[in-house]
Amino acid sequence: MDNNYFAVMDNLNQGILILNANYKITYANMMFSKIVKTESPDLLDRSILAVLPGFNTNYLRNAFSAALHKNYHFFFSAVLHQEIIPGKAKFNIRISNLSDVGEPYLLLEFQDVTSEYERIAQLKSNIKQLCLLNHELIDKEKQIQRLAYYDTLTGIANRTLFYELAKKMAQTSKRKDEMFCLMFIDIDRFKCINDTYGHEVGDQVLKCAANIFTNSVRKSDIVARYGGDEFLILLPDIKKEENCKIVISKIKSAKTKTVTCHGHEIPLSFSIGVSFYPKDGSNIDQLIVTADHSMYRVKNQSRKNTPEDSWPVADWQTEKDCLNKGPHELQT
Amino acid sequence: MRKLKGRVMKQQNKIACDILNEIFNVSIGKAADMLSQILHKTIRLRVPNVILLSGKERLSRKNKDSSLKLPDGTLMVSTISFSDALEGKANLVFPADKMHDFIYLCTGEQPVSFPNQSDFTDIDFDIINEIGNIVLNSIIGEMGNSLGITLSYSLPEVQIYNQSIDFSHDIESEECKSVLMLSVSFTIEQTEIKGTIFIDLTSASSEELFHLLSRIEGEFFG
Repeated sequence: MDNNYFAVMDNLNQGILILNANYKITYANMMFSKIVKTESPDLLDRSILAVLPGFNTNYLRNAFSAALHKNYHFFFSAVLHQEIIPGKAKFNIRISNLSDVGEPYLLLEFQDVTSEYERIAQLKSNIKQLCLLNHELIDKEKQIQRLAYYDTLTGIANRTLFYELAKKMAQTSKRKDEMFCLMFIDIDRFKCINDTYGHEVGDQVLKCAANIFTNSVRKSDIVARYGGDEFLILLPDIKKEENCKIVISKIKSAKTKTVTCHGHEIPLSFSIGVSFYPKDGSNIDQLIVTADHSMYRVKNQSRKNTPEDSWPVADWQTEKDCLNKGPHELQT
Repeated sequence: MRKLKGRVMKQQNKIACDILNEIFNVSIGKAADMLSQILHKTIRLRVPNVILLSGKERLSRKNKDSSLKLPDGTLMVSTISFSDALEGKANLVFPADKMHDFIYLCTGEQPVSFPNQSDFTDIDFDIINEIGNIVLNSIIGEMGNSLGITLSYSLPEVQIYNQSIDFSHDIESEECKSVLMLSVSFTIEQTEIKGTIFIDLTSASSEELFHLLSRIEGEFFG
């Protein structure tokens, strides 16, 4: 080859190797010398399999043969063939036939892709970090949503979520001409529990109450904390007013209706007022007011019937008794 | 008379496709063997069927005939060109969204979840380039060997095609009138990934291919 060609080859930024039909090196440029850390003259006439033993595999020998005899071109990626060239540097390798020059020769090109690999590794690491951040942001967003719509102490819906869901329920019931029930529930003697046992126990009582209500309703029903010791339950699509008694009965027969504090078992009881859409009101506020009034009537009646010194024993009344007092006044 | 001619043509196409199917299944077996050695994993490759498309039969994403329908979404296409006795291009096509799993199976490296499923790194392209190169070399090379012809090949290139860059336009260019369509199934360990190979031939090469196949058919039937 002309000396000018050699000069050009030596200035290339990729390793160039020419092999004869016996896979012996007939030419190696400067870059290839650097890759294998051997001077060019010392490489000449040596077998490629001796210079780079990583080539000595069945499939690579077959690739040499196919390139030499069938004119195939081969591309071997650095990621799948790291064992060919020892060291940290990474090279993509191309193998082609140089049949145009008379005798068959093989041209091997070694393209250094180390910096690309490092950049990609960095990019992947950045993406992983961004993904983690993104997950954290999603979690935070969910947390904010929880704070906005759920009561932090009991985990049930708060007043805001209750109003949003109740309005939708009222619209659906109106459109489908359905009845729904709203229950207004108050924990009996809650102030007294708080004053006697402290707010920590009061919080336990609220959590226990929320659990009882949640476990006593259907999945489609809505249980919400209205504020303080007041709770609301919405029972959509009920066919008869009496159907709400099933829920009341479940609340009444709940097994874990006591809170334990310093060895004392504090029994819980609830006063429940009920109103029905559309009979007792055409909007949620009216229904709440009606249920609230009936709940207070139950509570007052209960106080009259229970001597003050009997507290904290629960004052149970049967559903039948309650229903006899008024259409929507119940106490458990 | 025209009906009879059409029936004979159909029969000839079927025999040609059967012969090509045999050739391709031998070649794909060799490619699978080489890939298994490279990846140190058990790889099985199959070409269940070969279809010859010509004339009015067009490939498109909207084609009602499912056998002529290109997969939806972005496509990753590895291509080599060949010339001499036959002239055309061979394309190995995969749905891009399956390629992250495919690359993971090849490298064992947990893929990074890019925001866009059709985003790939240069390393990913290199892997597809290499695999496409081995598969297409085997397919076209074995066809050349079996037909007793010499072909020259280019190095492979990989491209991404999406809804706006339509792959069917590329493979049905003016000079390429006939397309051989091969379903190809890759099974790497227990996972199967399906792709398609399109071999588009110029009109002259298509005629030459049929001429060569009819010779084989003649030799076979004596």
